[in-house]
Amino acid sequence: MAEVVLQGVSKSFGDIDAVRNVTMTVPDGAFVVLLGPTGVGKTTTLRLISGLETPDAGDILIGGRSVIADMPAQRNIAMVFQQYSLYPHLTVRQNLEFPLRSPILNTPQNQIDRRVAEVAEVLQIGHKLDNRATALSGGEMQRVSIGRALVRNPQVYLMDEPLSSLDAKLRADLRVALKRIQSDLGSTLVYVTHDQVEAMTMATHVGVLDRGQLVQFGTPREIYENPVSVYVATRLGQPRINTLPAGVFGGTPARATTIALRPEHIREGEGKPASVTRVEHLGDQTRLHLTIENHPLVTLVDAHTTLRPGDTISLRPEKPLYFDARGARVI
Amino acid sequence: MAEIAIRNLRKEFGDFVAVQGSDFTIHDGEFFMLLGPSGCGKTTTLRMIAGLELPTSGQILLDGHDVAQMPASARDIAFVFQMFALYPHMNVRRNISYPLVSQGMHRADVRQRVGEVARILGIEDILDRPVGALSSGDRQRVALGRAIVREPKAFLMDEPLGALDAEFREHMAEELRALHDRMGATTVYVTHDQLEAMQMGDKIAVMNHGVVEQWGTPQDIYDDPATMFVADFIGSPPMNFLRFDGPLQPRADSAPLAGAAVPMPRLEQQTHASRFALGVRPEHIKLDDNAAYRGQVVATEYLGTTQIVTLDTPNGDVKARAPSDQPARVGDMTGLTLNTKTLSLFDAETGAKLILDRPHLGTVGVREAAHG
Repeated sequence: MAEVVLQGVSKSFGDIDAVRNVTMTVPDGAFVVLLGPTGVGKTTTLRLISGLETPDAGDILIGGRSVIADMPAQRNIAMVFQQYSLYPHLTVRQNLEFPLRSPILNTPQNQIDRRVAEVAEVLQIGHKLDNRATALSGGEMQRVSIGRALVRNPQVYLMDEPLSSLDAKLRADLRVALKRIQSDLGSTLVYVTHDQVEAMTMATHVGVLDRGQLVQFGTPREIYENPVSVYVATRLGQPRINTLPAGVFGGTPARATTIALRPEHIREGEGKPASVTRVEHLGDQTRLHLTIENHPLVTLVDAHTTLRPGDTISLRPEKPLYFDARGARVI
Repeated sequence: MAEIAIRNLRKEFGDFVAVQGSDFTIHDGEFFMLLGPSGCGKTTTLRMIAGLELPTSGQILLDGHDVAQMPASARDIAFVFQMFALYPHMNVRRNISYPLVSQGMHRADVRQRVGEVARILGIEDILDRPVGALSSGDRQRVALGRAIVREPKAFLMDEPLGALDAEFREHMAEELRALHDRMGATTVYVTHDQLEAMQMGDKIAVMNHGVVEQWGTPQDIYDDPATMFVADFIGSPPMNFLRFDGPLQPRADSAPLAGAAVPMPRLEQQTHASRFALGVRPEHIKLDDNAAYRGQVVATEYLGTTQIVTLDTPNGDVKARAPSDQPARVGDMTGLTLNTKTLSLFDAETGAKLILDRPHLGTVGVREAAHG
């Protein structure tokens, strides 16, 4: 396992600057999630690390050594793509064994068996080992393709939205499983997703990308509690953080134009009046949709609240975040 | 506008029973969700309401009239499909006008109706654009416009947001719901996404293997699931099941879990079941060092204000939702206190709920371990 360092890495495709001057250190054994919406440069960054793309500028180091000149195969990485690709004529077991059967590795059979069994159990495909790869559902095929990366012991795992095609329950199970495997193996993993729950629950570090640039890098807690911009603040948290004109509650700090409030950081009982527009019962929590001076606002209340649309309540902010006109954090 | 009553509806495809014994009522103006995993019969049910499939038996009462064997065209219902299909060679206005023009409506009336619909959907400024140049959100609004413009008795929607990415989907879900609140049209909506169902629905029918296992308000289904399937399908993470062996006497008020007598609401019925499952939602478990029932932390998942803590207990893995500032490290041993009055009990063999002496949660605050 190894540290991965990007130094001023850029990549353009024609007129499009896909990755712009990204500098980032992925510590040895870290689980780094690159987060951002479609088209933000996440996948390109991953492909640059893997060697599937060559940067226009900058350097990439794996384990302290520049790999810019290395072919993908020489970088000792294992990659999982969004779209699975299996050997259709082989069984699940043969697909999983394949990377270990490489003549260079020369892995003993008992070790292969043990590794395949472990990975199959974690990915809940143990009962399908002797099925043909083509006889699986899409979700099972994707698990096999994750498994094919996990059986190896590379310097770095690179994964591009590997869970996005799975159903919600399986995704939740595999989030926990992947995290556990990664920490058990002590492996370095760079993982791309637009799913904030995956980022928060699995990552040791989250890198937030915006139009090709890395705008913040830190633990999920740092990103959630201390975002550098409105853009970053709106990446994490469900329901999404509320953004309102800074003066709505009075007492605006200098240069602040926007106040941002997490739904759980709004206190009820005193302060500014707001009217209830909709009550959304989600079971474990109830979301209250409100308007305050004609601005929409969402807050969380007791699951069994008696509030109804049309009611008026008073609100005051707690732990507000302030941003300037360009979206940068003020305090 | 319309009330839709489903009575003992059944659909067979050859040997396969797609829907059986379905019974529920969609009241006038409701946003009604048909929820379940793929293959559960929800889309078949919707297609029968639309008239795209004819039921094998049973009734579909539209405002009291049985339409079950009537053709789709005679039902005055608008269907919005999973994939929005627009006429690519027409502009937005002509796409929306089309259903009215084809009915032979006067031009001036068409113009007025299309104008109203465009205002409701907020697409007045793109009426004269070709549909090929629109964003996916606007395309979706246009498709909705074409359904709305007919002013049908009811709308039927089959996973209309299924193909969208998470962020846009949330936005469209809010927009659809707001649209419904303005128009008040009876809407039946098929989804496999429990959060979407909870978020948008006035009522939910949860289906499994062709059977409606429960229908009611989202909060009632969440608080008081009728079966283990429903308890597991609704909620994220789902309800935990702590399994134990019986027998249980009537009026039993505790469950024997790993030697600890864990209090539960009094059992209010006879049961001959021998295996049971005590159901507890993750937010109704408090990590409490002094509790007798114990487990070991095996994983923690940070979610901002809260975290999900997975514990290895004598009854298997249990997930608890705790404030994220509560210390919980992998390997820690801790006690678990269950919020007694929120517990459910099931016959673990049939999966059916057993009746407990429990207050209706709708009237009491139960979220002691609240966000905060």
